[in-house]
Amino acid sequence: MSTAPTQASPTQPAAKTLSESYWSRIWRRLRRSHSGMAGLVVVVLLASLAATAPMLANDKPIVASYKGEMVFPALASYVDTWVPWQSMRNRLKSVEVGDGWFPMSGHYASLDGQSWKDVADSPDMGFAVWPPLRWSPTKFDPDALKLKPGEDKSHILGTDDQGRDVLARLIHGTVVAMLVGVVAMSISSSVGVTLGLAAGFFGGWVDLILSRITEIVMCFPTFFLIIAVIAFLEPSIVNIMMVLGFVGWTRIFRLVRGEVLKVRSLDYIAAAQALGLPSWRVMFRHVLPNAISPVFVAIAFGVANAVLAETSLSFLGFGDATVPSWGETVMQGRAYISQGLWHLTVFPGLAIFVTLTGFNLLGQGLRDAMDPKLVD
Amino acid sequence: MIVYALKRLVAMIPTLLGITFVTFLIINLAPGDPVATKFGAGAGNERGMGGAGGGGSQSRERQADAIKAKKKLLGMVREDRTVQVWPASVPEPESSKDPALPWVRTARLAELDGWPISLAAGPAGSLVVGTSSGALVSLDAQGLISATLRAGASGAPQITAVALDGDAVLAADSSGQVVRYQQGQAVATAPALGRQVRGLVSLPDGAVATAADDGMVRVLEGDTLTTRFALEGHLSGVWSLAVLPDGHLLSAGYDQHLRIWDTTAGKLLEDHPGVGAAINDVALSPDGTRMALALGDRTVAVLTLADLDADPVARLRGHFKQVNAVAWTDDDHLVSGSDDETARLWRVSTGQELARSPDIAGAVKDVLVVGDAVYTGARSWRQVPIWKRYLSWLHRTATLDFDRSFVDDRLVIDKIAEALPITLGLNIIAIMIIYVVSIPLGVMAAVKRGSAFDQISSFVLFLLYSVPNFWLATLLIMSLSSEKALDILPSVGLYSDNSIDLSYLPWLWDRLLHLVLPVTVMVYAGFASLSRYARTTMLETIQEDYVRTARAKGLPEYVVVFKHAFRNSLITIVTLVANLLPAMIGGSVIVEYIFSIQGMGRLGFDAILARDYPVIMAITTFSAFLTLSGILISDLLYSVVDPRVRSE
Repeated sequence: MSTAPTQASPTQPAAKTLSESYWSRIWRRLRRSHSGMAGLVVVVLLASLAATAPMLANDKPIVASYKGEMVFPALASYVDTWVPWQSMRNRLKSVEVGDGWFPMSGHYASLDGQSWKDVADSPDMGFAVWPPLRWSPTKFDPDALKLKPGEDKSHILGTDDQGRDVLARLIHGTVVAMLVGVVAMSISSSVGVTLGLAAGFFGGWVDLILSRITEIVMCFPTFFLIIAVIAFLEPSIVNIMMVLGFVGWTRIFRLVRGEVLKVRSLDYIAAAQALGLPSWRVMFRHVLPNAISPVFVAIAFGVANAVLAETSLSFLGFGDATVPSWGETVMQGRAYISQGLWHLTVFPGLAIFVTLTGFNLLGQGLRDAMDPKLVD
Repeated sequence: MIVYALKRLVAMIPTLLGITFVTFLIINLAPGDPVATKFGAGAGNERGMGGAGGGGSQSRERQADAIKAKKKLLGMVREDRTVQVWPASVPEPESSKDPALPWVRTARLAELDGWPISLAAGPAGSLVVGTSSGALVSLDAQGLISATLRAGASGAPQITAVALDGDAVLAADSSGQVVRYQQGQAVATAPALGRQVRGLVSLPDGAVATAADDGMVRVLEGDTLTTRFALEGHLSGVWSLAVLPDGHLLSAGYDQHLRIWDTTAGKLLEDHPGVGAAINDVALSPDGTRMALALGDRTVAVLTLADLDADPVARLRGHFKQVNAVAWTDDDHLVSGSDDETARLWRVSTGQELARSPDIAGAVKDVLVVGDAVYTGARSWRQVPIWKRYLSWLHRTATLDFDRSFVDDRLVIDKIAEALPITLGLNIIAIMIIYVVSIPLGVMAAVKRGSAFDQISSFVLFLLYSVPNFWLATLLIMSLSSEKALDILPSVGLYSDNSIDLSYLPWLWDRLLHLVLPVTVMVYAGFASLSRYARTTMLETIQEDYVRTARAKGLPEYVVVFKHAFRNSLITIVTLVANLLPAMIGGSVIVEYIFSIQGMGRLGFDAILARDYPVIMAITTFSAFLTLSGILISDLLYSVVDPRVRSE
């Protein structure tokens, strides 16, 4: 009979509870909240929809054997839908793999100006795996203008006033929403966290000036400012993301500053400083990780706000007409109320609503999970 | 309390300055010159067309002046009303292909009342200057004002020509009036013609000749200015006169011809067809053999007096707008001034441009050479240094002077005064509804925490919070205000077209009906955030010790809830007004756009579309101020309900 295990056993459970990290505790608490998990599921679903959009709705086959050669035309759509910068798009399309094979380019010389649908039945086509929805979100089709759902079996949710399939636009709209939300919030949070950290950590003049600047930015009606800037710049999706990002950092700044002020007065920071650690190390290794968690809540809500702002811009006609934004379709719906094109309003609006709900639920779930006042 | 309010006000000064600074940056850094954007092609197009002469150039000039006037109102430039002086002799270039030297200004003479547009040389280095505001002054040799013969006034006729006759000064203005001044007094006046007089010379026999836009050359008696002859011959406006060495009078103008008159007999001697362009100014060379013509086709032509029909001996090309004035220097060079905002010095023999003034930033109207000095009179403008611009912007913001709209020339402040009450009214109604509905909801949810009511109301409000307002608005219009479905509520504007004819009650009903949809769209999102906030604060207050004490004392539940808990949680709820206000002004853009309400949001939206900078600036500034005052009000309210904050 050995005594060693029995001696160790009382300490083991204690060690286990101690070793539960902050993040795993939050994850555990988030998992218990139904609404938070619902939000997470919606967000993950939207993200995967965005990730697979070019393979779900496209007028090109995913993989096909054309003239005895294996081609992946839908790959090119990834560049078109996921890369907002024109120059980067062009550069990516000219990336050459192997001898003369451009995987990211939609150009197949032998197609002769025909679309993939035109050559689908030609003898050159061996086999082809088509996306479930064989419509592109940006393809103008004069033969299928303003179709309501059910008027044409292949257009499940109908078409808009330029004959573009509404369902395809909804699916590709997830890409726009995700891009806008993620890029805008990355900008906002990096600006907000950096400035907030500096203001909270250094205090004094730095804090005074940064806080004044924040107050000034907060005084301007955000949405009006965004419209103004977008109206003067080119209304490209990149500009919209940038403007949303650079206007929306004030909330994060205030959160981080407040947290840093709290954390900075704690003993372990004094200990770290007493050890003679350089201030950047104290700042980034000791203060920041303990002050960052509210930012994630703000980011979740912020993504919802950014999506709302982008769709509102598109609704007002300040959006990027080259990308399939949900707001643009709602705008068309408003223009054709008298013609009874209800599907143009209802479906994209529903998509926006679901997206906003998902991110808001996730944000609320995170907030509850992180709230120290709510005990387990 | 008052001390605290003052303290808060003082603390806001930096923010106020910051706001004005940001709006200032927007106006100065916005892509494209705001004024050039407004006036479209502006300067760019004029270059291509320039020099047709006559009426067209006049209107283009007015347009250019209007652009600059707008810039002036935006604080970017100010009028430069000085006579500028340039050296008549410049270093000779080594090769004929050398580019023109930048002409370095020697001086700016006294600031005048109005732009100097007509110049004449007086005795002993003095100068007589007529201005665009109708002022007539003489400057002494130091360039200081020695006498004011006529004071300028806004709207007064411009002094278009001045001439000297011995010690008398003659001046003609754009109303066609000619006045003779002697020892600073007007001694004789020729009545106004109603047409501008642009040419004025004194003749060797003591008479005075005038050239007017009505196509007549008039010879007036020198002392009384009564008309001796009215010489007909020109087909349209006569713009310039010169006395030839043989004492005859030469006139030229828009009809391109050069005509020579005998002023003692009053008859036409010669008629030359000119060089194919309207003639703005003529100048005889010092040796009296050649004549320079300032032309509407952007060139200067030099003719020999001996044969006015021959081809020009020199044609100076370089100006890109019509040339307004020419003058000879003593060393046989030519000076020209043009609408292209430069004065240039030419060597006539080679046609080479020797020197070019930097952009005077205004059409050069007259040039005069006296000895080694070249004087230019121009409608010029000077850039205002950026810090001065900011100060003037600050001043204008403080006095609420936002100028006129580019779109309809109405005062911006009037447009705001119309739009602001609408937006404020809507927002106040909406905020009141939000408070009235959501505070009871939140309090009830907190009191019955975990009940079905709590869960359902939280869930529904949360879903409402995620509904995009433009979508809800479109859905509402689609279902309640369209002939395709129900058509029971109006969706355009705040009242019907015929509401003015209605009696009071129907009028009120009409108003209310119009409010339903916009206000619905404005309030629903607020319900969610405010009731959630009320619920949270109420929950926190209920957990406080004094509430437990109150319960322990056995007070009835409603007293505990309303007197002890609710009153204290109200503190934080009140302060939320400040947070609601900015969001609502920004958000009113969408609501006002959808429901065609002419409030601030709609005004701003239209202004942005039309690049109407004054309106955009005014709205941005106003909204920022409103937000700031919202913050201030909520701070003060907070200090009223919670006196502790005052002592901080």
